[in-house]
Amino acid sequence: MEEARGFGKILANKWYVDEFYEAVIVRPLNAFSKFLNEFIEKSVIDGIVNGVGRVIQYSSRQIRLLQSGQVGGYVLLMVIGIVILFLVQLFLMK
Amino acid sequence: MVPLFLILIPLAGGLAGFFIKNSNNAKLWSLLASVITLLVSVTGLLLNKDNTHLFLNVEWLSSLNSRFSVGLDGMGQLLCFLTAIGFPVIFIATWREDYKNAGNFHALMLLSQAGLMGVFVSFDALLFYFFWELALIPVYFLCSQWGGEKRIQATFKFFIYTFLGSLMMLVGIIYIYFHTKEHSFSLASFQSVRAVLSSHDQSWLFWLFFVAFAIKMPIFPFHTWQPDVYEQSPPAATMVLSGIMVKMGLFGVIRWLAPVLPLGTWLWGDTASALCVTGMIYASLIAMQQDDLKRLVAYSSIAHIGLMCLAIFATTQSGMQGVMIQLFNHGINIIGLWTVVYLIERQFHTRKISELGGLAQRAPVLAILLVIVSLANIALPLTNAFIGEFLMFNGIYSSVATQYNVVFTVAAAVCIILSAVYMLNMIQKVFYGDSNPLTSKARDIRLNEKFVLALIVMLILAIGVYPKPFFDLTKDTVDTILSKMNYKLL
Repeated sequence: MEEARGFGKILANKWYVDEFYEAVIVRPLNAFSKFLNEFIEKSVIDGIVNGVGRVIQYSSRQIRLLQSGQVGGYVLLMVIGIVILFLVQLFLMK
Repeated sequence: MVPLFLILIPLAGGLAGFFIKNSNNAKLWSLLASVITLLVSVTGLLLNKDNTHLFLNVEWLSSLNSRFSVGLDGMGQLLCFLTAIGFPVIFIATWREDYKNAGNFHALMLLSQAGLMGVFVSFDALLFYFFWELALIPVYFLCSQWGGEKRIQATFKFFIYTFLGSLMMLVGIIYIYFHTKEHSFSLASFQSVRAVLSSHDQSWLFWLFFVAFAIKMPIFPFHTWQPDVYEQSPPAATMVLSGIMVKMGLFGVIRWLAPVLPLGTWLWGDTASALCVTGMIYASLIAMQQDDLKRLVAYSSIAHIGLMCLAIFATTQSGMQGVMIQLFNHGINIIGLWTVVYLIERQFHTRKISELGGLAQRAPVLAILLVIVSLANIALPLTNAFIGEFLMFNGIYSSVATQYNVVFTVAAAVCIILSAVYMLNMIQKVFYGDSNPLTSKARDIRLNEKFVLALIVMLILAIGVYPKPFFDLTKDTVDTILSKMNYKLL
């Protein structure tokens, strides 16, 4: 068959309507949904959820060290606490 | 007595089920228990709505002034019927699945049914909370014992998520309890507490409840547990979770949030609606990218639930009526979709859309049934979802509770188009085109599977053509809730 030329080519390609939709709607939408799936969902939202868990695990690992079993350490913490409470009482609550 | 039996039969059946060792006996026993429950539920539907057998109110924890108050109003009837018909359907659909410790598996399934029934019939906040947890715990064990490879991680996430939500709700319940006049947990006292609570109180209490329910539904951005859990759970548990358990969240908003804290609901309605709409579009777009059938259905479910939650906040007659009927429709449709996904995975040991193709030539019955269920998921006219979604769109558009009604309607309508994109794309890639070496040996579905899918398709078409019985059933509930949600009456 003879290759269509000029206006005939536009008609043969049905006014390029499909190509237009492909470029304006389908591709951008696909790219956007890929971005949502691969970045927002996996990194941002799931990252926040798992991050909360990780922060709690990390801080509990650190706080665990306070419970050393040495009574001297506990007494020291108690004295520091009393001093802090005393200072709060003295300066902040008049 | 009907609501009591609805709880007791699955509860007793479940407890007895732990002692059954033989796999076939366990299946038969659970099917028997669930069919009896279904018969009781149908009996309840046949009774007149003021019949005394539909309500029961006896002493429970008298020192706390919490009563064992259960009853079936229209919405309760509808959801109990969904739970009652859902379980036998699920048992028959997964009949050929072999579980290790089948007795325990089926026992836990029945226990979760008891919990679900309890949630839907409770008229007492403490009782509601009690059953809410009872429904959750068996599912946790179902997923963690019988799930896929990453089940421990997924169920841990699920448990932390939902339990956090439950605790927030408990704080809210206790706060309201202390502000009721007679220090009571009853629904009536909770619904009259609005006179005492300031708008400031209602506004933060709203979030305590809404987050708990939003996690369950789930609403963006509290949804990330869902695709993981649906993917890792055994098929029967996935069907329970998505078909019935997510309705607990919507039910909670309709019964325990919107009528109890109308001012809070009105103040935050736009924010909550915006979350719903965002989640709908977001989940639909992500569904387009999924290659795993289970994850596709999971994200599609998030989008459809978002629409239902949006319609609740619209506070209109038709929107609320649409939500009611859609609660049932969504449950039926998604159980149908999961059944198809399960049958495909069982036969080919894969859920990847890219590895399948040309199934329609080998399994025509499965293809026809799946296409109808999928079209119902897109809400095509003549299917049940069309009725529900049309009413909801109508309600959202005509809403006076928000000034953004047009924006919400347009955004929600986009999701219908997107749902056609991903569902039709999935049908095309899985069922049409050329078959490959994996799918060329496919066989069609067996009798039990045909029965289940045919039943679901019949319900889809029947409700799509003649939804009136469902409207008559829920009309009273809709009117009551709308009158309670009307903040202007304060």
